[in-house]
Order: sequence, then C-alpha cells, then structure tokens
Amino acid sequence: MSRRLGANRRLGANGGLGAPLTLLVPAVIAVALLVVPLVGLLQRAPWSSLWSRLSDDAVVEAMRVSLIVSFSAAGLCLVLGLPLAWVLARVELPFARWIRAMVLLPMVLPPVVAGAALLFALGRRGLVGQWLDSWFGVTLPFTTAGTILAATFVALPFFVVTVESALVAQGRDLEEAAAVNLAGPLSAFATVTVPSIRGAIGAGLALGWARALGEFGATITFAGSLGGRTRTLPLQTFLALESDPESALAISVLLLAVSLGVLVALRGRWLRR
Amino acid sequence: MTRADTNHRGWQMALVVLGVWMLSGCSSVSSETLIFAASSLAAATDEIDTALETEGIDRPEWVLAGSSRLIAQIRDGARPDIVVVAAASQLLTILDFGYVVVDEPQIANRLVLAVAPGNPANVTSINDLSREALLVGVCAPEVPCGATALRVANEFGVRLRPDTAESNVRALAHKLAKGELDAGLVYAPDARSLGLATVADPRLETAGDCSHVAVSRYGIAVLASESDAVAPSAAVSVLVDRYLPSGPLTQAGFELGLCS
Repeated sequence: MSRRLGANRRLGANGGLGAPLTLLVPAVIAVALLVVPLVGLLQRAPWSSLWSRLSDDAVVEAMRVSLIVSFSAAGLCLVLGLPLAWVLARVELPFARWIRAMVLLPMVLPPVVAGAALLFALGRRGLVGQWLDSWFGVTLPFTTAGTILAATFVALPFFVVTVESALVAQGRDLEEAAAVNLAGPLSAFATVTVPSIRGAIGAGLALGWARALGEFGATITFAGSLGGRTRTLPLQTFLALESDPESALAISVLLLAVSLGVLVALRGRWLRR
Repeated sequence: MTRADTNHRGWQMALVVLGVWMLSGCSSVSSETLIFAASSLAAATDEIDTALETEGIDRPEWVLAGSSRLIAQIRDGARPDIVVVAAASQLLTILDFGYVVVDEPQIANRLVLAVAPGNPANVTSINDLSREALLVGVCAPEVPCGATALRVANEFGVRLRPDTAESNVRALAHKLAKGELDAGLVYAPDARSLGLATVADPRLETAGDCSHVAVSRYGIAVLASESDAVAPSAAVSVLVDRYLPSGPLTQAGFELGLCS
C-alpha cells in the first residue's frame, strides 16, 4: 500500500519527470557555478601561443618537477596506502574510528595548514626534523623530497579511502578461504585480494596522482618554490600570475586537460550510473 | 516533534542565518575604504589601523598581495579606493582605469640581509648568499622585492644560490623567522615586524640615496571620481593622507623622506 502511494505521488506532482522547479533551479545554478569559471578560463586562454608558452623553459622545468613529484607520491600511496587500507578494512583495531578520522583528515584540512603542520614537524627546527637534521644531516624543506612528502600527505587519503571501501565491499570470505588453501594470509593478500580489487587500486592511484599533481598550499608552505627543484606546475601558475598571466592561463589549460583526462579514465567508476 | 520536522527546522534556520549574513556582508563592505597594498605593507597595517582608530576614522579594508597580482586584479575589474604597489612603474598600466598617481608621500623600502634566529650559519655579508651549504631564500624575480634582490646581487657580483624563490616577501620572512632558512633578503619593515635578526652589510646601506640598488620606490594611486579627474590633487591627497599616515609607516621601517 505504502509503496503504491509513494509511486502515485511521484507521478502526480510533475507528470512523471519528478523534477520540481524548486529543486531544478538550484541544480542549474550549481552546474553553472561549476562550469562558468572553466568557460571563463578557456575563453581567456592564449590559444594561438599555447604551444610556445607551454614549451617555455620555466614551464617545462615545472612539468618535469610535477611529473617526478606526482608519480613518486602515487608510488608512496601504493606502497604505504595499500597495507594501510587492508589493515583498516580487516583488522579489529582499538580506536579504529579515530585512526580512520586521522587518515581522512588531510582530505578536509586546508592544505596551507597541512604545510604549516609539516613544517613544524619535519622542518629543520621541527619536532622530528631537528633530529633528522642533527643525526642524519637531512633537511626536508626546500627539497624535491619535501615536495613529494607534501604531495603524499594530501594524496594518501584519496587512495586509502578508495581501496578500503573496495576491500570492505568484497568481504573477507574469499581471502580467508585462500589463506587456508594457500601458504598464508600474506600470500592470499598478494595472489587473491590484490588482483580482485585492482580496479579500485587503479582508481585510487589515479585520484591520488591527480590530487598530488594539483597540490599547492602544503607545497609552497613546506617546500618553498625553486625552479627545477620544488616549483611544480601549480606553483609556476601562481608565480606566472604575478608577471605573465598568459603563461599562467596556458598552464591552467594544460592542468584542466589533465584533470579531465583522469576523469575520463575513471569514467567506469565515477560517471557510470 | 518528528525527526523530519526537526530536519525541516534546521534547514529553515540555516537559510535565515545565511540570509542575515549575506545582508550584513553587503552593507558593511560598501561603506569601507578599500586599499590594495603590496604584501610588504603588512608590516605597517596594524600601526596604521591603530592610528586611524585614535583619530576616529574607520579602519580600511586591506587587501595584501604581490603588487603584480593587485595590478592584474584591477585590470580585471577590481576598483579599490587606494592602491599601493612596491614598484611605482607598475601603476602606468592602470591609468586607463580611472586611477590617478599620487606624488606624496613618497614611500621607499630597502632590502636588508636577514638571518635565522641566532645566526647559526654565521652569515656576515651578502656574499654568504652564494654559499652552497646555506639555506638561502629570496623573492622571485617576478615580484618587486625579488627584482630588487637580483639588482643588488648583480651590482655587487654576488651569485645568488637560493633554495627558495618566494612570490611573497611575507612568506619568505616567516620562513626566516622560524629558522627554516639561514639567510635571505627581505624588506626592512618585514624584518622589523617579525623581529628578524639582521646582519649589517655596508653595501646595503642606502646613505640617503634614493637611487641605491637596494631601494624600492613604492607607487600610490587613487581611484578618482569623474569630477576629481579634472583636478584630482586635493581630494585625492586628502584620501591618501588620511589612510597612509606617515608616523606609523616610518615607525614600521619604511623610508618616507628618502625619495622625496
């Protein structure tokens, strides 16, 4: 009875479309809010000189740094994040909710705060950084390694969340059966679990990589900005806005294209209904 | 009360709050004097605000950013009442947008050699900025303080080996204050306001010379109304005199008499 009533109401209100104007108008405004800035960017972009601006030495150098940093960060996500996702999904942890909250925090934390936090922890005078400096002579700020660290900090949650939810959805039956039949849990993880969630791992890597590529606030706060070492494409864009806005627009178009490319590559996961 | 009702009430409250916030936001913004100022002026805004308050003048709305960014925003339609940039020549590009350049006060700024607290790297002169082992910071050449730093380095044959080239002098000064950098070239007011240790290098002493390489001459422009555009000086200088009092600027470490 109640089901039929619900169906009638849906049909009755708006002739089957189910889109009342009070919802439709804000929805259209929301889409406009998201799309109009991109149109503005594309309309102002220096199309005729795009190639020459993107092949400018400073921009190419920033591309090189960005590629090194984003792929290294994605690699670290895989190496550190995959075990973490498994532990979160499979192990009964005390304070599990708090640990998960800590893992997710960089997703919502303003990146500048992340950069300041990294500086206070790993800077030369920082909590851990002072020991790194005096024991090993290692200083992370103002180095490519520091840039990779900042990018990994913000990218890791995207990878962990994607993979963990796949692990939870998959359940543990298959893995436990494999652990009994195969050499043990580690072997089951490598030969059964990982292949069965490879789609999620790929999606997590793509998201983490894209987040690392776009990272700005944490990087400029923690790692500074030096061409060829720490100045990634977003930092180059920021700097170019000071002196050469056309160049900044050209890089923005490139980053927009890359971001769209990642979305298209993920279409099976995110755009499918 | 059912759960659905509670939810409904929550949303109504949120909308009311949002509406009030937007209305109050609109009304307060319009009455304030909007000043676009180079980031280096951050060292003086507190003092200026305090000085204005004692005279019963409303504190202005400050927008602090790199000078070139401010100019770009004006070209894109922003209309602050007063613009202060760290390189006077940048004002030429906004004259078509209703701005009038003001000759007084002549604000100048000079670079100083700042070091980490306690000077652990034992920096003694700007020559140390070329030492590989040091963590050195400068402003990027794309912004006025970096352009000035580059001029200084060229003039005295110092090969800068920066570990970071920041687009904002304030960010650079903070990194020096935290001891993350050993040495760097920042403006005197930034060093003063953050309590940075500085090392005196005779080559950076301006000795009253406005054309010294370490000096940046600031530019000030004011948005002129249609009528002001004919005879701008009076109305315009009142606005500037009012909002850029010389006392707090000098106190902050800017040099007002240097270039007049």
